[in-house]
Amino acid sequence: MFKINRLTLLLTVGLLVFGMASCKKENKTTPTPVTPTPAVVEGTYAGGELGTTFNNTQTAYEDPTPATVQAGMTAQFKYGEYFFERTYTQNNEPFNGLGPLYIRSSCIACHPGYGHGMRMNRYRADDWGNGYLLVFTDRNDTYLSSYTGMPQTKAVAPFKAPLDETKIQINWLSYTDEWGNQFADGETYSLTYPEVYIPEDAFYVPLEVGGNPIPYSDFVCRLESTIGIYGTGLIDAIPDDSLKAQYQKEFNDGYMQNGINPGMWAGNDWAPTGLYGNTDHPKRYTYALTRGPLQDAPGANAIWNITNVTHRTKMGHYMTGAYALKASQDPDVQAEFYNYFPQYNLTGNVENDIYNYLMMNDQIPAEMKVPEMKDEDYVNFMVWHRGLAVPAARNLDDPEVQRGRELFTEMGCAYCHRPSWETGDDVFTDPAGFFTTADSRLPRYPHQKIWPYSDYIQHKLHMENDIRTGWCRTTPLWGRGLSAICTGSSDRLHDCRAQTVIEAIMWHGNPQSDARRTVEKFRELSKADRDAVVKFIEAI
Amino acid sequence: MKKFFKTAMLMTAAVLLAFSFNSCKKNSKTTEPTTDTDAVKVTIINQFLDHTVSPTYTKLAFFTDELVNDLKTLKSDMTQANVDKACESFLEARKWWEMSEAFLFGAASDFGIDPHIDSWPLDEDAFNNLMASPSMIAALDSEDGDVIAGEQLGNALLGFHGIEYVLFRDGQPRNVADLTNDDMIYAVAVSGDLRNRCFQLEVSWLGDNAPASHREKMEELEFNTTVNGGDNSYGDNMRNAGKAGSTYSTLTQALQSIIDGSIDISDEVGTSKIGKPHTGEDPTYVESPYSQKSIIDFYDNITSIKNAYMGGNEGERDESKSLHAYVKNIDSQLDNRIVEAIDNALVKINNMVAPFVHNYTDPSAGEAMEACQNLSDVLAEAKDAIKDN
Repeated sequence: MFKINRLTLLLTVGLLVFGMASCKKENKTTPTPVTPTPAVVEGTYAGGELGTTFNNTQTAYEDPTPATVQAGMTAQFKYGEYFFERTYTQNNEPFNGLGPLYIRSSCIACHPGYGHGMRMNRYRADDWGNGYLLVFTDRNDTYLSSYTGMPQTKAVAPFKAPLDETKIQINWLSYTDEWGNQFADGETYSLTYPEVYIPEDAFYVPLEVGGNPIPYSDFVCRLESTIGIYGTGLIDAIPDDSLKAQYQKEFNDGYMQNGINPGMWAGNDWAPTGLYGNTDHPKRYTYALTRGPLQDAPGANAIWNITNVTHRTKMGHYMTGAYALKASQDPDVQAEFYNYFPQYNLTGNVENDIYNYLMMNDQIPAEMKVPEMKDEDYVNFMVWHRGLAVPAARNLDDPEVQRGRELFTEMGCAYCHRPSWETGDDVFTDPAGFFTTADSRLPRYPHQKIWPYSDYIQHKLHMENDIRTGWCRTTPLWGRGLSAICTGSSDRLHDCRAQTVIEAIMWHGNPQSDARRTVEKFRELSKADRDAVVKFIEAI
Repeated sequence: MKKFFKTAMLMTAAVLLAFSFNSCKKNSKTTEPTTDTDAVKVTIINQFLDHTVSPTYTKLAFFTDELVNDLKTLKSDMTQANVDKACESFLEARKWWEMSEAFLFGAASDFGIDPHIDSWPLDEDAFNNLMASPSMIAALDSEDGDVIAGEQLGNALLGFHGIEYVLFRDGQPRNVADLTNDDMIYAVAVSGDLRNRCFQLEVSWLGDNAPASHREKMEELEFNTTVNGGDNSYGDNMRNAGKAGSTYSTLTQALQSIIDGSIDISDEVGTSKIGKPHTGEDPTYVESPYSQKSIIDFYDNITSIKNAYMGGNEGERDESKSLHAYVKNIDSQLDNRIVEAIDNALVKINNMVAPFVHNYTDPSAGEAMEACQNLSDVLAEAKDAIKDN
């Protein structure tokens, strides 16, 4: 087949040249420029040669990278994939260990088609495509201490969920911007955003900040959606120094009216909180920039804290002391605990036994602390996670897409949505200590030019009912144009408030937004040019 | 079509010659260079939709509805004959589901229907907890039991394998004396949810061509049945590939999606359904262990590939309007290898020693696993081969 394709290509080129040449002879006054199209337009290999798949069908987000295949890790990749896709239960090995509390019973529940979460009209952990995580804070944006950072709404018997999810209301409200949601040529767009209401009687655990009760009136809930997982291994391969140079450049340029988050950058170097844990690696993952190296980043963490399935480096339960205390004193739980967990009848004092079990503290004998996920399965899971390819950009030789690409740069979109990066040696680390540095069991991506379209720095857009703190890491745009076919939806932004690219762009337009000037320029474009920008964003 | 498609090179040459010469006369605007090719692709897509997807989901919807009725009858009249009848309907519904697995893309994936109705193994601990909960049993026994089941039980207690657990043991229909009223309350509710989801598949793909009563049921349940919440059914979305409003940017992408769906299921049967138990990676990973119909499931999965590739389900197949003919015109040897790989996979699965749950280490399982993996590989070649055509 390869031979036939090559032959067809040669024939094609030959005939085109022949046909065009014949035109030239007859029509000398209007010569057709014969510009040879490069075999591959720069930027097509979104994940570099080691990280790109040319699949553009429904499975485009699910392929292994060439690096994974070349390293002979395809089987591990497929086995690891099961741990992402399958539903966990309490006892059915190897997908066992669900609970005692959990957020979802599978990873894919939050990442439909391996992509971005879907816009929801209600919050149910089991609703397909619900990639929302609840964000509980007080009015000063401080997380509640009595609920886990990602609050759980599900529990296995005999426990009760910390929160009754059936009482959560998601209300979609209309927003009208200063331009009346309309371009000068009359084209309109819709802006809607979510507000979450949770009645006081929905909470099983008291509302506390820093261990102290807060009034219900001070409680705030927002939504944050998952994004796609593909390509996260490549992001890990961007050198720390390159990220640092990007911060320094943006800080020195001073273009951002909100500045650079001082929690991340101290002017000429990282802020102490800009580095991950006790490492010297900068944070690069999540909207809030909470995570550093991939081996201890959201995916590695989520296999534990979303399901509460333990593995060797994460042996405790994802749990708060406030919940454990509440449950241990609940007569209903006390009445049933030994029936469900007879092996934890260690003291005969049911309140203590419940509390100790939930907290997995030192009162639980070491021999009872057995990882629910085997090391081998966790390695396979991380091969899959680090091995997910990015779909190649499409149609970059299309004149309209090229026009959009030009405008994307001219207007300044490309300043924050930085098109490309060069990966380094990819000598990755694992702050959790499971993998060794540049562990040979995982795929690597040295010296690749990748096209994620993000600067991996936080900016402020000042959206109505904004993300917690207002600081939001620039979301990579690669592969998003395939979202509808891969996931069944193409919702954008941190809470899925945008359902089209235009809506997403216009949510950048608040007068206080770091992207204000760019949105003003976008508004000055003709309809054809706006469409070209959208087409480019859908192509990358 | 055969006349036009003598070889891929001739086709390309003819089209490009026409295009380049025409461009001299009419400034490149009058001739659609790929019109004939597009027409062929549209014909294949229509055949796939009308003679593979449509009859499969129609039957699936019918037999899952039948299953609900049979289980209700059984619940009110607990006889062995009624158990046996429900088991027959279950297996018939199961067959049509397995025969749909080459096209799990679209509604089955976008709405999470596949994991909702076909997760396994069943969570037996959670099942026992459910049976010990009078309040949940009462809820499932209500008029909206199907909706409550769908919303509250979770994937590990829903779908085919939950019903299978109630109806079968050791490959045989259960003894009616072993069934409790609570078992039947559960089975009726879960089968109602299964039917609802299968109606959703049918309506999502067939759109207005689905039975009115099924469409009304979707409206009553407020289930989404369109692509991305818009106006297109999944069938129309594929028919309109390459046009504005379709998620398929080209007709070729739609054809590749059909092949991709086949790759996915052949890979899953080989690597996962057979491979995980056979290789020892995960011996618990045996689908349909209670009815012991795993091998039939595998066979039906490969049949779904055959139906998608060869131009329709048995009895309404037209090979001239198929991917088979299309690939044959591009690379006849590749097509021969695909047809042989499909047939080989069917033969090797048929030769597996049954029941799989007790024989997954048998060499015959290894041979079937390899045959399915080979089928995935040649289909991947086909997906690549059509990308420029």
